[in-house]
Amino acid sequence: MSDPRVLILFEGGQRTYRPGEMLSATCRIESLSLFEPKAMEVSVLWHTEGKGDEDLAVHYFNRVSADDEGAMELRRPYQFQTRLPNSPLTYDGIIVKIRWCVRVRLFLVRSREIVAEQAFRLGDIPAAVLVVPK
Amino acid sequence: MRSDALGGASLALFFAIVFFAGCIALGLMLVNVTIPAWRTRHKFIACTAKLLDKRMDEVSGEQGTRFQPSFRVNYEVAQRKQDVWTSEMPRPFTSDRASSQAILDRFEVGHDYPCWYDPFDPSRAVLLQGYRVQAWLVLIFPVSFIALGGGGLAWSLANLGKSVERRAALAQRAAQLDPFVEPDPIGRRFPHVPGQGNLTNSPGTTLAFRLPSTVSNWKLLGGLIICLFWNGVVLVFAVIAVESFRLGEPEWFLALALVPLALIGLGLVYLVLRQLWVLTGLGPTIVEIDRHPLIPGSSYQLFVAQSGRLAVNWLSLSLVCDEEATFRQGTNLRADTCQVYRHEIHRQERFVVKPEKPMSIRCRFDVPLAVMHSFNSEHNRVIWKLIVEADVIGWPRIERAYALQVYPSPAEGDLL
Repeated sequence: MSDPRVLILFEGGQRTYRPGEMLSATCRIESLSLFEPKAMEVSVLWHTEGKGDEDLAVHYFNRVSADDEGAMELRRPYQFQTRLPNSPLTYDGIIVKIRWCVRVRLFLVRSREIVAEQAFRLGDIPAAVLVVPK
Repeated sequence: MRSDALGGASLALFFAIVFFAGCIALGLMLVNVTIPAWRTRHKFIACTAKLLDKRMDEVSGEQGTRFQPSFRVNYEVAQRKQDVWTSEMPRPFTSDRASSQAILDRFEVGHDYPCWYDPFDPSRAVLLQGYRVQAWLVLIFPVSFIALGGGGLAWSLANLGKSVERRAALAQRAAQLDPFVEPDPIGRRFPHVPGQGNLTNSPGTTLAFRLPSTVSNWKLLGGLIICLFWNGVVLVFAVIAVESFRLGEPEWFLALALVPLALIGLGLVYLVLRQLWVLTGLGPTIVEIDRHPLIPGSSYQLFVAQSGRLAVNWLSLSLVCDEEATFRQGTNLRADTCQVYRHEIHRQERFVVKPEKPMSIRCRFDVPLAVMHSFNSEHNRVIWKLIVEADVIGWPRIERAYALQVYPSPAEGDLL
């Protein structure tokens, strides 16, 4: 019995967005028939990677609960769209990196969770280059 | 994910233990200290008692000997004579013998004194109706445990079973509703880009804005505190060493160990004075800019002025971008910085600055099109700044930094 799989599909296969642009995506759950979903959370967020402790901020968040919407609603493809902010832009720094992604968290019975995420870029800043002191 | 839930449950359990420990301690202190103290003051009934005897009770334990004055008094309640030993209630035993003796000396055997007895148990009485602040102050300890444990427990329970994204979303929503935080229009349009703060509140004399120096006095203050602390400790040990020599019992090991410590202390004094000299000896460097905030791909005018009497080997003005990350390593909070952009805007060599003829430079610089904007989050930052460096004859190398904010290029129709 394989675990359900969460697919995140960006509209038009787009993976790079300009600040202020609309992001549209669909989340689809596969092989869910044998599992009883309790809730699903969809977030558009950025988080940092690198040397520092992780910072995270959520730009878009929605929770769909089987209690409120019914279990059938969770089995249908979930479409959403959100206008992306002007900042922070995706950044590949040396010790500070900023990553944007759509993250879907599926809550199953017995406290089981399945997390899927798809990264995308906000802005088009090239990777940073370390300046070597003279 | 289950480990997250387990971690949250463990944290809730920890706070619950702290909370209940605080409740138990509060109950014990109320019953044994605070309520008895309050009752002696408000509920005990006054009468007159004859002092028959007095003594100093002593208890020896691991913490040394502790003392408590005790009095034998005789008084009458409802035509029944009471003959009891009493102490100042709820005064606990104390190691301060002098204060206990002073209380004992205030009373003379054979004299009559006001006395207060417990209406529920007339054999309990006090000669001193002390209403000690300590009886209430002891409650701070359990109350702080209750506040910390209760707050932590409520926070843990509120977050139990919630995902990190849901917690972040709730925290962000709560922060937006904070009535004490003024909404920042630029912060809303450019989240996590630092506001302009005090970068644009000082008009320039030549260009629009005078930039404040980011070199804070904290470095000097920190150095001064370390220097005073170090030399204070060395001084205490030096006094002990000198006293040992004066008494004819020289502490040679202490005296020898103090020599390197004293040399370090002198080194610290030198460093602090040098820092003070650099900070105050040279005149201020004025840096002004024609527009702010900065936008990638735009060009800006700068004006730099230096006053004083200086012979300068070289002076350099650079636009710099640093990444800064703070992280926990064990119990320590550490920071690391790394430079990702540096461009020398202007360089001038071999010139003299006189009080009647201050040095002034006007130049232009461009912010490259494809660079990261200023960024600020709890543990990570991207910082843009102008750095003025100079090699001045007779002075240590000078480096002064001036903060700038680089904003992302605005979206179409979203003009800054």
